Amino acid sequence: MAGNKGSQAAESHGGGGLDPLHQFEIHPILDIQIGGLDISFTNSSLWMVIAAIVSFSLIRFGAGPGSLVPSRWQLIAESLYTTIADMVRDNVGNDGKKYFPFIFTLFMFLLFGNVLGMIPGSFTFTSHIAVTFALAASIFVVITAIGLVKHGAKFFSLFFPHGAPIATAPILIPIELISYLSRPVSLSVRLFANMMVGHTLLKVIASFAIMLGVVGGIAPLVLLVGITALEFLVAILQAYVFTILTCIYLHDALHLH
Amino acid sequence: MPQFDPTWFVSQIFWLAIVLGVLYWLMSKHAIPRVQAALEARAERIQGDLDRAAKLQQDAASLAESHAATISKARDEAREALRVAQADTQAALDSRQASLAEEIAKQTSEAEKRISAAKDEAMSNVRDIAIDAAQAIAERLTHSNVDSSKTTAAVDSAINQRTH
Repeated sequence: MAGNKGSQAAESHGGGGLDPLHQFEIHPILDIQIGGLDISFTNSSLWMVIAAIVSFSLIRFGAGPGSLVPSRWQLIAESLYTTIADMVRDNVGNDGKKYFPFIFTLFMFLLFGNVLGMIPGSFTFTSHIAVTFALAASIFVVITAIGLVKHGAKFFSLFFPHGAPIATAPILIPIELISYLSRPVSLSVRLFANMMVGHTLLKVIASFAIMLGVVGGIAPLVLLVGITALEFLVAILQAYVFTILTCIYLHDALHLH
Repeated sequence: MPQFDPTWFVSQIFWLAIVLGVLYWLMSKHAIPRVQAALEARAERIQGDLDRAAKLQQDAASLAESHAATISKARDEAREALRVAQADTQAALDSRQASLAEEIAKQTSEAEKRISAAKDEAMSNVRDIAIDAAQAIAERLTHSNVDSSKTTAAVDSAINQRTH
């Protein structure tokens, strides 16, 4: 495995050929081993860092001196801020304010993870289930902990819909429990699958365009342009969906329905 | 699929935690407060301007109100002054008329007194003349001395008959 890491890296820089799944391959940039665990800095890590730098810079330097009449960059930063602030207020409530910095960071990180992945030759770390599931699972655990700390044993009333007849409990409680436990799975798979399928589709259609040549490739090329636009929409939308669902789960934990 | 290759799971999760943690720290300490400050300053400025405008409008309204009050007070004062002046004039006129009427009445009564005195005097003169004349007539007709007191009584009764 260690042997072909280098060749994968070299191949990736060479364009990746026609394998539609090649774009998802991870190759190390800096080998780091700690206690037998491979925590090498990879292309995935690199694009995480780039997404973090871009999203932080946009907000930090976009905010600028905080003019009364915003500049263009300031307007972008402020629009993103108010979009997420409104989302948190509408979906979590006023007690969600203290979670706003995390929700906002999450949104910006995913947004740029998705959007920067649209750059040809870049790497989309949100198309990896390991990343999305780790993120969704940590959010799930933290939100569940918040709910338990806030409500104690009353938190488990979340698994029985308020006002349902008690006789339905043996059916409803397992259903609610499964639905609750599947939240991190659906949250992570939704993002990962959307990003992976979209990028794979783009690559497949692009391969068609190359294979069919200058004349025959025009139709796939037109389709490719359309789907690329759609992918930008999906990239933004999926970041938004992931964030809004986090808000809704947080609302459930704070207010129990 | 490279997504299900567990080789890079640990590395991906490790770097996700590091990057997201650092980004969270940077965002919450250095980026979000700036945007928040700018938004709050703007909202405050707008609210302040609105408040100031409302206050100015209120001031203008109260000023207009006090102005209207001043005008209506001045009008009332003018009306009162006019009324007082009219009353004064009327009083002066009345008193002048009254004193004039009194004077006229006094003069009239004085004149009447004078007239009556003159009349009495004239009457007494007439009586004396009438008595003298009657005495003389009676003496000339009778060629005798007539008692003057009888003549006087006769003339008086004649005058009394004429004047009453």
